[in-house]
Amino acid sequence: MNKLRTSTKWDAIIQQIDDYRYLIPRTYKSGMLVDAKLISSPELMQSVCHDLSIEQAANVAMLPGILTNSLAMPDMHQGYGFPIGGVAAMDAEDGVVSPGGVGFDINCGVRLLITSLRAEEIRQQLEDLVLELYKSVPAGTGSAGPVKLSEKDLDEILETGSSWAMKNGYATQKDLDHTEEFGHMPNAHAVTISERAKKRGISQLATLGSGNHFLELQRVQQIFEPEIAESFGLFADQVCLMIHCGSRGLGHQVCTDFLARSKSIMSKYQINLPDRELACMPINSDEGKEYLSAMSCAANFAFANRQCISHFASNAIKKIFGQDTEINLLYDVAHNMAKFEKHQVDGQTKKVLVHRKGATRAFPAGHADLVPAFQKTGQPVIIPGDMGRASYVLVGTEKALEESFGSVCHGAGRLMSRTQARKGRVAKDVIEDLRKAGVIAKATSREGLTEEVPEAYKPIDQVIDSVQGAGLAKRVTRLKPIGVIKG
Amino acid sequence: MKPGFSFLDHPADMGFSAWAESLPELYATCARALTSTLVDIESVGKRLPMTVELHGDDLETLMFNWLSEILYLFDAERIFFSEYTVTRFENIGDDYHMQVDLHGEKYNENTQQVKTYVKAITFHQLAIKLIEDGFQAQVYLDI
Repeated sequence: MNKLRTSTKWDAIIQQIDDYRYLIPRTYKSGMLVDAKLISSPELMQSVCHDLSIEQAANVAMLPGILTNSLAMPDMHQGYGFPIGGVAAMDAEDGVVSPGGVGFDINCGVRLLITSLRAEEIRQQLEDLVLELYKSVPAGTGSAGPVKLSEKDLDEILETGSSWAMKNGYATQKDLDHTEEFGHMPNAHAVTISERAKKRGISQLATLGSGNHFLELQRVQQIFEPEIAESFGLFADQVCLMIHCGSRGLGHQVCTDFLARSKSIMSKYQINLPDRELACMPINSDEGKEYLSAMSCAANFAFANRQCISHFASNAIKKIFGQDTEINLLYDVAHNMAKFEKHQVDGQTKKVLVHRKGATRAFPAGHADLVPAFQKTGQPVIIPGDMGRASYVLVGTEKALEESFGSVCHGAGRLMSRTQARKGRVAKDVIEDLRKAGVIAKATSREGLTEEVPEAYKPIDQVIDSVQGAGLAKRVTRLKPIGVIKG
Repeated sequence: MKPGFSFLDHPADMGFSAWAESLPELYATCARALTSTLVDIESVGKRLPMTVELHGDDLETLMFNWLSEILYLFDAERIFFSEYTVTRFENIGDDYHMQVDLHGEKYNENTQQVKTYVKAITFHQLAIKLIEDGFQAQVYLDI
């Protein structure tokens, strides 16, 4: 075992369990109800120890009703309240739900579309394809989405998510079967969403947004588990399209609305925490139920959003390569969400509310919540890396179910601040460097693109090595970017 | 002291620190800092007047609500503002209240480029404090 040395205060506090597990004991500070467990590696811990992520993981351990451990995944970095990469399961009876633990971009998530095309066949038309995708999916700010919604439509999306998309010709039953929660969170009542949230969302369906959201053309570069890959329909050099986005302004407003009320709600339930972004309320209180309903509405909007983007992106691909091009959804995962699930806690099956803040559900083969197509393989876990290096498809393991409430990382995790990333870089050079590396890039914002340079992220291979090393997931394929559209 | 602001670093997002002689001026300066994050504030005109009223149960919540209002007006109504004048600022018990006159114009995507799309205002290390010759605020934004 490599001893962790970071030259920070954490060297004296962290208990190293093995090469991939680090513990902050609950004795670290008063108020922690459980230990904080970090899944990482000696290399990745170096940057983590220099920001607030570990402190934030320790703060999460103070949330009332937290079970087993506050967890953080190897892509962890400093967030707001929760660290990004954080997982916390609360007792569904007497625990809390934390809007900050879900985040502003409710049900931000990723999906992977897989095609019948090979990268080698499309090399000559790659530039045209990137341009066509760019035209089909509005990105950045300013542009309204291609789907005009009535208020009634919006309410139906909020309550039924991708089911609305299917009813309106933007999805098939198979798409829904290949989406976490079937693209439809239950107990979502549109009446719990503010008019402001609706106003922000009504023109934003099928839009990408900005920040780290993207459309990315990738090719299957390496296959680690041939049987699972084949069962997923993945083959060498296959062209895939990864879509990363969330609930847009609608979701951000839902979180804002609840944070604005948090001081009086927390004081009503006499909850004291060291960070206002950890705002929370009892799951079974009126406010807790109201938040969970509003969060579910925003999550449904995000599912429908990614589904409609898929529809328009698929049309763009077919426009260039013909209507008989096969395009299927491999899977759609949420990575900012709180969900009721059943897990084993102290040897007993318990209903818990799992908060995943920049973490992905990763259920193994045989899990009751998976559709028959994934019963033998486990759920596909889609992990975006950065726009220059790689992304991955993984499957979850029994170990993840036992140790991390069936959760793994959600991406590479940022290493550099946006200002650092911009320093000394201009968009033109970034585009040229990517082109040399075989990636055609297009972005609506010059600043946005430079902030997302590959070096701004942790090396994805190291992050995946850690989750695999810890036994929480298995690599299925490594995907290499070939074309990217940034918001 | 002349009011002003500077941007702050965060591993994934960004923030700003602002200072002014009085609280009303501080809130107006923070609004300018947020607008400058979104767009080149010099490119925003003043033809469109608006008045808004905000409440909060402490100074931090009032700041959170105020900046969230500006973000909402941009994201839902597509309006940027270049002038902020706080015309009333008071607190009665736990109710902090302010009224602000804003002047701005509709976002024009042909002539303006959004620099950074801000998703939300956060309470992360949100602080308003008294300094030697006025007040200082620190605000982090979710990008």
